[in-house]
This record gives sequence, structure tokens and C-alpha cells, in this order.
Amino acid sequence: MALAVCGEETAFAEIIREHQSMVFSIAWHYLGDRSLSEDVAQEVFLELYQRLATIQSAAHSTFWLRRVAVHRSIDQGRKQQNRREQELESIPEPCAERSGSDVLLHQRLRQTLGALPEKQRMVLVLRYQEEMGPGEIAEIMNMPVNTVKSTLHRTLEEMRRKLVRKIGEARYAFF
Amino acid sequence: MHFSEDELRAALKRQDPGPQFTQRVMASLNQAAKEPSVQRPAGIRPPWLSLRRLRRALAGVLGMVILLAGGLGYWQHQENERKRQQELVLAREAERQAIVALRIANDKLNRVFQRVKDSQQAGAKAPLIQKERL
Repeated sequence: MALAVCGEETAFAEIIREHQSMVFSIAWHYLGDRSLSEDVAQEVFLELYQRLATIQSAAHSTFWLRRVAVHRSIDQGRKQQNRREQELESIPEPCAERSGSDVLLHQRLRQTLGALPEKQRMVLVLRYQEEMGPGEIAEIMNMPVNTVKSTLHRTLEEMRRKLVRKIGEARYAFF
Repeated sequence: MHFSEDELRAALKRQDPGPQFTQRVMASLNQAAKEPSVQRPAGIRPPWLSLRRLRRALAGVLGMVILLAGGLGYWQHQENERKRQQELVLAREAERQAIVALRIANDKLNRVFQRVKDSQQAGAKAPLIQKERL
């Protein structure tokens, strides 16, 4: 971190490599658009470069990157709101792991997640992608901890209901 | 359909943006460093057009205009004053010359008057002399 602050390019490239999957995945799972997510991730790292002098430690940089990635993704999502659902359906996933897991279920889970309201979606991404606790999520999203907890509970219930409805519709369409 | 939290974790597993991502970010960083205007946030004016500089320039121009107007006003006042003094001197000279002319005229009139008076007195005395000769 100190080398990167001094302008060492290789040190900053190492920071990017270390955090790129975290930043990109927050944007990807929230937006569901690969190129948009790459743009958001790139923008976040450029912003980090400009503010390197204010970053005190590796933990601080992780927190900062998560926070900025969350807010940039939400901003981008608002701009793209009208196109989100169609893109989620049509665009293939990047480097998706397909062996030993229920690919169809994962795809449906991501589609259902994409149809959720913005705050619920981001809370779920932070909880299950980043394994963050309600306190950390509350801090990043500027929400009370109890609101995060209730949002998590309510969102999981909503996702289950939506998935059941989707499967039902698919069965009707098939038979 | 039911799903466990582990399945949700697996569905939301971190993905990699691809091997070229780091190079792309570094390239755009280098490009941004080469072009300072790129780093400037959108919507902000270039430095030479910043509001603060514009205000300073405007204040400078305004100050110059006020100074010029003040200088011009003072110069015009001085010029008027000089002309007034000159006219006053000319007027005094004319007054003095008029007084001299009046005095000369007065003298001449007095002399004419005296001669007329003298000739009248001489006319009145002549018949007496003739009577005395007769």
C-alpha cells in the first residue's frame, strides 16, 4: 500500500489484482451486465488511485473499495433501471462455475435477485457474496442494523415466493 | 422451490472480470495521467474558465474602469478650472481697459465742455467790447 501511495505502478496493479473479483462481482451481481460491471469496477479503481493518499491500511482499502463499489453500482443501476431485466435474461455469465452445482437453480436465483428492489438486492449481495454481517452492511449502506436484519429476512422470503411462482409459470408453459 | 443459504452463496460466488482487467485499468490510468483534462470531473470548467478566476478578472477590469473614469473626471475638472481662470484674467483685463477708455472719454468730454463754455463766455463779452470801441 505504501509503495502504491508513492506512485509505484506495479504495487497498484497488485492491489487491483487482489480486489478486482470483489469489486467486479459486487457490480456484476447487482447490475447483471458484464461490460457495465467492468466499467464500474474500472471507475472504482481509478477513484482509488486518486485517493490513495487518504487510505491508511489494507483493511481500510478493502472497506473503501466495497463501499464505493456498492454506491457506484447503485448509481449505475438507477441509470440502467429500465433495461435490467432483459439483459439479465440474455447475457451469458462470465467464468461461471458449472461443475458440481445446480446451474439452473443458480441462474434462477440470480434472475430473481435481479428483479428485487435496489436496497434488498445490494443487502443480499453483500451478505452472501461478501459474507458480511448485518453491522458491516449497515455501515456500508448507511442503514440501521435492525433494518438490515429485517430486510435480509424479508428478501429471502420474497425470493422463495418468487421462485415458486416462476417454477409454477414454467410448468404451465411447458405442459 | 426451496433453496438454502449455501446455494445462494454459491450463486453469488465472486467472479473474475478476466485476465486483461488489470492491464485495462492501468492503461486508462496512464491515459488519464497523460491527459489532465480527463481527470477533471465532468461538469467542471477548465482552469482558465473557473468561476474564481473569472471573478478576479472581472474585478480587475472593473477596478481599471473605475480608475480610468476617476482619472478622466479629475483631468476634465482641472481643464475646466484652468479655462475658468484664463477667462477670469481676460475679463479683469477687459474691465481695466474699459475703465481706462471711460476715463479718457470723460477727460475729452470735460475738455469739449470747457471749450464750449469758454467760447460762450467769449461770445457774450464781444458786443460789450464793440460798444466800448464805438
